[in-house]
Amino acid sequence: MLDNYRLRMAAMGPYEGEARRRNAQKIMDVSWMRDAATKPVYVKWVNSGLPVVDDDDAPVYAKFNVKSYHNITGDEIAYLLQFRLEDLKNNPDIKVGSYVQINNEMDEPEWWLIVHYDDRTQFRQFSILKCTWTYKWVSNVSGKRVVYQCLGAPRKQNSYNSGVWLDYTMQVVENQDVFWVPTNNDTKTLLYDTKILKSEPGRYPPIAYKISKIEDTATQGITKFTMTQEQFDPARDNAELMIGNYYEHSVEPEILEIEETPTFSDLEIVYAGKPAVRAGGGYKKFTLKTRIDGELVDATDGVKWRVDFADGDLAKLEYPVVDDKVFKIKCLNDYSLIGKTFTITATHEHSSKSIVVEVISL
Amino acid sequence: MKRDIQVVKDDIIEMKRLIKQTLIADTDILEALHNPDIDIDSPDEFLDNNIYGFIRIPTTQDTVRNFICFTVDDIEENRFNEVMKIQYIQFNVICHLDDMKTEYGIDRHDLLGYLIRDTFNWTNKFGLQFKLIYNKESTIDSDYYCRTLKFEATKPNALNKARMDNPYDKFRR
Repeated sequence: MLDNYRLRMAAMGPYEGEARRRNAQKIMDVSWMRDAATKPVYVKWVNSGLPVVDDDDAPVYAKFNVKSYHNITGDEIAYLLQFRLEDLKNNPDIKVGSYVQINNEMDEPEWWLIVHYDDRTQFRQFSILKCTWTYKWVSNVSGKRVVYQCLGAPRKQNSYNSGVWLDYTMQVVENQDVFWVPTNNDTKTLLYDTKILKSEPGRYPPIAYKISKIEDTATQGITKFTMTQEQFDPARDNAELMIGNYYEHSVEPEILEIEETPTFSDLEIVYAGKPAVRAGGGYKKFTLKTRIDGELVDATDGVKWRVDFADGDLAKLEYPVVDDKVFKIKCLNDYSLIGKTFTITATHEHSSKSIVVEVISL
Repeated sequence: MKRDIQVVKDDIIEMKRLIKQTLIADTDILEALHNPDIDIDSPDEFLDNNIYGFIRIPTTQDTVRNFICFTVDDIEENRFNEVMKIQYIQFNVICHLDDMKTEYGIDRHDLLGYLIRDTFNWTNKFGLQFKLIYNKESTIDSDYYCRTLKFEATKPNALNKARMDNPYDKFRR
């Protein structure tokens, strides 16, 4: 009897602390999708080029947590991202140096860079920094000059001086800047003295820098570059493309083709009211629109619509084909479907947009 | 729920569902409700915005201006036959003063009143025939005006398989 009791207790965990951790893990899993911090995110490890969300990429649901609030005099702060334990085990891309696409409150996608993984006992979290600048540079690879680009997180470097250095004969600017990028095939071509242009569009001459410090072992997966300010040279630098040392050689460098996509975010499915259809109600209309320069306009033809109803019977939904851009769907009068959800996916050329629709009562 | 919610044997719930389906299926009624935020192609959205299955008094902060509210009441049994009852279906068409004029030269509450009468009067669509017995306009406050239409229908008195007994009695001791 006592042995049975011991066995039963041991099944919960060899000691009470472990049992509590297992309990906490179960609670965390069960309540995961109910947390307001939980969001669908796309994790992308990129060895070369810019991160792109493909049509066949599936989102993972992660908790986006606030670590501290921004102080206007300080550097950009890191936020925390927590993944489900099973996602951590199954998705090798979830690691320091990967990019994460997270939609903000306005449903606009933003790329973040995973820069740290903490070591707490349970519910370990990643620190993420927002990527706001695409760094471009020319590098010489086996005799061939190639333009590389990489999305990175700019950091501040306080230089504690006026940014100008002068002596009796000359005066030069000497500001400094720092950025963090993943350690990958592309960023390994960023060498000392590689020239980088970084300033807002329209500023002429653009502000030029050269790499002066490379730290790629401080955090495994991330390379931290320090740049020191340099003179812009109109004979060598391309202000239009914002690439330094572009005209260093009479042969222009090769620009690697990158897939023109992240239009994923440009599509929006528009509907009246809530994303819900009523069991026994009328048709609900969904329209695919494209966001161009912030304005929503009708998508062009050639849109393919798909419905996935994992919880229920697809035969209970009616969706006659009306128009490429417009999708109409209604749900039959079946009360057992109330509360269930289905997914409508609109695919347009290389990008797609999905929306989860709930069946509600009349 | 333990009961089979697919088979709700209740005249009131069934009637309200049918009325809602009838109202949102009529694009003229939806157009006359004049809600510029809702596309006529998404008629479900009018439910709980402009169409309510209970009498809702509009508040001053409502952005929606025109409502159809309805109630379904079983108040009395048939005078000569107790297996039948009289069901009253009352519609309240409530419209805001600022949105009263329509492009058809008819006041909005009258237009909606006409459309409801046209759809529901003498219909056999819901079982036994509907009969309009009351159609009167009134004032709710200085902003909202109302037309009340009351229909009468003689129906079976919520019988259990054509008998006047309770289905659970046989399980009780």
